[in-house]
Amino acid sequence: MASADKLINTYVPEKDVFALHFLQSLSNLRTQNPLNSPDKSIDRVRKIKKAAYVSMARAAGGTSRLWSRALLRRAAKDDNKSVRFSRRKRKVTWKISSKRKRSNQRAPVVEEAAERLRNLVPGGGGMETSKLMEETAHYIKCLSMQVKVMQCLVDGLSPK
Amino acid sequence: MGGESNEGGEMGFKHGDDESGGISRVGITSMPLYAKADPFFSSADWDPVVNAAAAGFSSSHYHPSMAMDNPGMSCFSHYQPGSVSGFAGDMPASLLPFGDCGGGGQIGHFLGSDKKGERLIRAGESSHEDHHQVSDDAVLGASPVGKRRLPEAESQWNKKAVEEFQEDPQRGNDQSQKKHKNDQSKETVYKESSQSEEAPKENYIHMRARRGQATNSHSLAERVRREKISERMRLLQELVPGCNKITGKAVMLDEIINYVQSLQQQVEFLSMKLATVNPEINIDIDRILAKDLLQSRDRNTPTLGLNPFAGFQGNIPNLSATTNPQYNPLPQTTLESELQNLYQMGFVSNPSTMSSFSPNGRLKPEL
Repeated sequence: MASADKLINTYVPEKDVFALHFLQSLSNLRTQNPLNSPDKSIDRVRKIKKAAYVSMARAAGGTSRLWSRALLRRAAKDDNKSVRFSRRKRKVTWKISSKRKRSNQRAPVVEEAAERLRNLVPGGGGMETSKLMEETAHYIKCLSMQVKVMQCLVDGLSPK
Repeated sequence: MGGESNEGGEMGFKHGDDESGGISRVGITSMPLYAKADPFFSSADWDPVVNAAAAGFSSSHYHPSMAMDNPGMSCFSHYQPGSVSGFAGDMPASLLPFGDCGGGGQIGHFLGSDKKGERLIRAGESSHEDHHQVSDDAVLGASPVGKRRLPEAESQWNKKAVEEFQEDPQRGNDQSQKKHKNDQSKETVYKESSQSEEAPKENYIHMRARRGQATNSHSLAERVRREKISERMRLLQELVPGCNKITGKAVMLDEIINYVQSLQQQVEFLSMKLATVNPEINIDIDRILAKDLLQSRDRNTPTLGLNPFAGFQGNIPNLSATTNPQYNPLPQTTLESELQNLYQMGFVSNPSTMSSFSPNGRLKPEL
């Protein structure tokens, strides 16, 4: 259906938005650990990774998408200082996947794949399968955008 | 057109061999039945027609019942619009419903039962994809009812048997007026479990049961849900590269999962790379950003932005040269004004100032 995109909104901002957010987060990281770099590089990697995800979530629409909201909440939970996340009144979700797990009416093939997807996509646990797939589509778009940005940055910053 | 010359009421054939295109459109599976029944037919003439019809027509099993009803009936493969009026006078009204079984949705419109040419003309126009449409008409056609439905309405109706009407009021309006006419004229509705009135403002899904499927409300909902899922899968299929040839939900879903996993691994890998690359460079990232963005805009920006870079000549120009083409030119909207702020602040990497960048209007400091 060519009109599918109208019904399902998978708008993703331009690359600059992602770049902007990511660079902001990186600079904030830098200010947090000015020149005394942490000893373990793993910590740094983890921090950068977290910064990447959080900035992606923000760039993609903040709390307006389910997955980004879940991502931000997860990040805020781990580390209360660094991520600001304001609670939003939760809308009642009609279908909770836990109920559906019991009934075997839905196609088992689809459902087991949906389970795997739920583990991958942040915030997927509470979603119905069709909603999950919408979120996955948006998530994929944002992830690929973020990867592009990071690749550009790495290429730009790597020594010649 | 030899059939035309036969006694009226008995046969009106148009086995237009030269119009095989029109015939194949019609989908005449009923031909063989009548061919046997009617001595006037020469099967040889009908062969091309029959072959076209054999292309598979779902409502063929309705035809035997029709044959019982009107034994003397001749079936028409299709009507030529021009010569319809000649026929109409010959055929008794009861014969007209028969034409229905002969065709796809087109001839279904003949059920309109009228002897007027305009109904028959519609054969050529309406869509022929509504097989279930035909069967409905065929069943009801045995009892001629006057002006029961509008052809276009029916065809469009069934085309949109499953839809989500969350938006698109225009479509909803079209549907609603046609549905209205349908309701007026239809007395009995076979196979319809839920009335699907188009109310564009309503957000819930209206469905009509299709032919041959259970009309249980649960299975209806199931079907709607499955359609939703497959629609989204199609969307995902476009997103994931190299999945155009894959048909099948299981494989597709596996592909999607693999793709998401690979993207996440890429993020991790790139962040590792960044971690190694980053500390070596002493330049403030903000300046890179500003310089890069500055360069992508036109040169009428105040030169004051360029001055602080004087000290970084060794690195910045190279970097900006490399990073420049990789970023899209800035949208000339909010980012520009934010950048003005940035310059005025003197490139302070202050979290509070950085927060004003947020293009989405959120003023939360970044991580």
